[in-house]
Amino acid sequence: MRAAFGAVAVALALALVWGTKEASSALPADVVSPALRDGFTLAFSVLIESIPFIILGIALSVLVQVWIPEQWLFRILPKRPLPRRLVISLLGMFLPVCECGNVPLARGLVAKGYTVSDSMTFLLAAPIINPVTIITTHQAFGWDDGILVVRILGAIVIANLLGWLFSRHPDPLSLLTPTFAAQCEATPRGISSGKMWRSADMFVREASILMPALIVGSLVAGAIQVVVSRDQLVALGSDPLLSVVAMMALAFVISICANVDSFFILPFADTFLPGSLIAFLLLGPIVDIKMLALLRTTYRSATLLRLTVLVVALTAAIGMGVNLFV
Amino acid sequence: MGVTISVVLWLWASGNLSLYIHPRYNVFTVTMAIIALAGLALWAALRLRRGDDEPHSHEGHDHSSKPRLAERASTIVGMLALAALVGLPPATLSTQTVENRSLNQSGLGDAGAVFEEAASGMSDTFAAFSVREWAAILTQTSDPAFYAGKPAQVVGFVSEDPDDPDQFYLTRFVVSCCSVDAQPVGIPVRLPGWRDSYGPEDWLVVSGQFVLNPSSSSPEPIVLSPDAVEPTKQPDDPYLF
Amino acid sequence: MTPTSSNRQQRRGERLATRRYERAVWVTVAVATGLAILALAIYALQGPRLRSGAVDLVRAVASPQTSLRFEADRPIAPLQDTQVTIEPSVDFRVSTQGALASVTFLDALDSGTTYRVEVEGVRGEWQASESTWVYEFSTPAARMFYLVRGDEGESDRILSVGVGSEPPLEAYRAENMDAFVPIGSTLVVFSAGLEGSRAELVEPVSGRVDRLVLPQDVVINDVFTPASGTRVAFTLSSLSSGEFDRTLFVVDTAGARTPTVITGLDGEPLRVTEAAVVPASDTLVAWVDDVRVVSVDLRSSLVLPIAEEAARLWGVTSRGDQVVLVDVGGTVAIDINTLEETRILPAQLSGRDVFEGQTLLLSDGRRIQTVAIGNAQGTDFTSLIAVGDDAALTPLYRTPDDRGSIGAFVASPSDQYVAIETIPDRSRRESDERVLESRDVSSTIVVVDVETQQVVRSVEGVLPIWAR
Repeated sequence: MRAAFGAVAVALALALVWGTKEASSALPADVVSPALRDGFTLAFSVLIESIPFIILGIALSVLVQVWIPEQWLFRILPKRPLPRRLVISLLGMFLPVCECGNVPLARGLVAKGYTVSDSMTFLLAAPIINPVTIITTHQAFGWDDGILVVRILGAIVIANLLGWLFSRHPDPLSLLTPTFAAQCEATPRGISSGKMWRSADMFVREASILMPALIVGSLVAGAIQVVVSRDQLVALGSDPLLSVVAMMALAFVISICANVDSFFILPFADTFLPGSLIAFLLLGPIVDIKMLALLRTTYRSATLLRLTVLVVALTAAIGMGVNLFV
Repeated sequence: MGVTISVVLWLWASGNLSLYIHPRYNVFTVTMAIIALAGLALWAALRLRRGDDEPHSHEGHDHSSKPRLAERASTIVGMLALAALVGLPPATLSTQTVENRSLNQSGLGDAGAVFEEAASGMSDTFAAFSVREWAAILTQTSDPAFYAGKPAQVVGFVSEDPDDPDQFYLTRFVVSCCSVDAQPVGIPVRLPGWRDSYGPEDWLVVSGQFVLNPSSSSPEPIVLSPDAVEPTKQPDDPYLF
Repeated sequence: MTPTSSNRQQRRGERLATRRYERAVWVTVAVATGLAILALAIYALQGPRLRSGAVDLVRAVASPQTSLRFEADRPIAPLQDTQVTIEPSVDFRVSTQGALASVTFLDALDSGTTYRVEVEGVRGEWQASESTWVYEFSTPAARMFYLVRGDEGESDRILSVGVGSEPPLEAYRAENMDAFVPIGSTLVVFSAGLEGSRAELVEPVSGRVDRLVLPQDVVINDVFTPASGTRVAFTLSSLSSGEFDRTLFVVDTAGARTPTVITGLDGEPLRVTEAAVVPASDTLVAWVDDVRVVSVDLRSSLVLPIAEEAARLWGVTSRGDQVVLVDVGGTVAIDINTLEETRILPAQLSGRDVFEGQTLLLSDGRRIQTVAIGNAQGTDFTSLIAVGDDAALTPLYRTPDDRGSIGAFVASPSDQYVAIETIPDRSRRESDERVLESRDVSSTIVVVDVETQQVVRSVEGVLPIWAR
């Protein structure tokens, strides 16, 4: 009975939106200026591309929080922090979600009792250390110029280094936004309501927190692409410094999913130095406009600032280093 | 979330999803959308029942403090974005983006393989060539004798040639993941007086052969000399994947 | 509530820990940035790097004087020829301008070959540090067109074949094809018969056939192969009016497609019996009036003298620099630009004198010649293809058991292969009785690799032309 009500409610909402879309698609294309229209098209494409992964990530997060017994999550982890973080950075192999999907998952892990720094290690490593990303990177580059190897090793190094750094903070919860911290503290355990209802409730709650961030992130990404002309960036392809900087800037702006960024960057492989390609492949999955917007729901700005600066510096160092030796 | 999912499903149902993402993601996207809808339906049912017998679960939201300016702003922006998502018709990228991203910078695919096909190909090979394949071949050789007898029939939209007013580029976007990475590729077409009949972003079918470019102002050594030019409507899949 | 001392200690501990954490973060950032800068500095101090290399592979195997262009990441000091090594070896010239360097190959490149270009000691304009560049590329495989003439009532076919073992591909089939010239994916097909002469531009891919407009009442005498770019040269004679007598015509298939007479400066047409295309130019070297040899620019119609008296015109070197002809003094090579003469002295084959025929001069000074040697009694003569220099010749190709006879041979653009028209058994001759380019019905084309001296292909047919 209840389920029927629910289905009807959703069906009504769906019909409403569909009706509006049908009506609006009759509008002529130039109802808004081309630049604005392109900005929206680009923003929506980021949004639409990310949505399935967010849904998957939330679903997995719900799974982790509601369905998976706690012992599973903790038994496999070594006690000592260094090896534990190493294992966590490899956890992504079993949870292949795009970087945006990792955010709800990481939130779920923190809610379940993982430390903040452990969740951060997971967040930084999982987008790259997962089967889909590894396979697509290999499909795009093979073993050329060590791009695949450096991407994997670089991700492990960055994730563990940052995890270690943040673990040195005496009060880890203060790294989180007050809202999320409170949510974690107050997460009810063992309430009487059924798992299905709890799952649905959690699903919508996570969605309502993450969706605004995703939308804002997509809009900004779309807007920047219209404003900054790409051929200016591309002209810098073989300069050792500027190519790395340009590629990192591109990765930051374009907010593309880690599973497929290898295919996106592949055409630039002729004109850009390999170190700059690696910088793109390491930076993109960790910090870009969309990700920062999403992460802001969970971590404080101060934390994100340090995170961004660290990742940028480390990625730049790795990129320049690769240019030197390749 | 609900609004976005609905829009996604509508786009898929109306065949416009390929305007935004690569078709290889369609199954995944739609599956997830349906799962999300199921989750929403469940939640809606939960909500309806909440008044009855559900204990009020402590949600952990900080209800007490006023929503901060940033949160208010992001909510407003979010609402505007959703309004745009629903209110704007589905669109392809315009020539604005072509100008923004230099033509043929990338997205040409495996130029060497296409070139070998062209060197020995017969009619069905050339019939299958799109703007992207020809653009790749043009980067390989500028020998006019090579292009003799190789017919081209391509579809694309018009994009202005900044170097020569009698030429335009017949352009398509190549997309590898989603339209955010769309890369314009194009071939130069020489048609003096084309502005009298066509404008930028018009979709055309052009048939002709590639010849030595007689232009003094254009840096392109080889240009398509059209035998037939016909306007056409935008293809259902305007992007090349 | 006053904080107890243990609380205060706890908070101080926390503050210290927080400071340590902050320090660790910023030290890491500083170290990473420092490493990045260090890597950058070392990179900048290294020698110039190769940003890109580009070569037009179609042109490179079809004509001499094509260039491989290198782009460096900074302006470089001028390069010397000695710094560049190319494997397999090709004669070249290197030039530098700013950040661009150009290696110009003096000969066409071999087909189906992987070339490796190494440039050592590349220095930036203002730096001492050097680097080495290596660039590899592979050239497309060689392809040869030829004509198979069908029996009475059957179509003639134009086929193309590679030098491997794949079967030939049919390019076009039609009746009465006497001669043809391939240009890209088009074919210019000529036929001359009792009904008159015909020239057509065929596009096999689209199926289009355009008739080229020839003057009325003529017969085609010769078609000169290969094409010069998109231009084809040929001669015609009038059947009754006497207006044209082996008059030289040219048609540009990319342009107006109307065959036009080439006239010299004096406005007179040229009576041509032999001609050869100069590679990488719009020029044709022609033997006019059976006596003088001139160069004809097919675009501007400029006619320049090369030799006043010649008994035969053998052709042009593949490098396009010299004309090989026979005058009163014997075989001679004349530089097209400087008109400098180099005698080609007759050499001996296995210590015996030979009769010289068609001569092709190679870039390394050797020659490929059709020669005829007599048997001990002088009653029978065998023709074969020989290669060598002034000192001695060695056989390159002989028909099996020397039973056959050798016709004309055509070298590939880089002199990598020669396609030889042969008749397997000269005691059994039977003409195919074509008006234009008649041949024996048993004609066979044999393709020989010049370096290995092996026969790589043998097909039945006539008129081999290497695809460009």
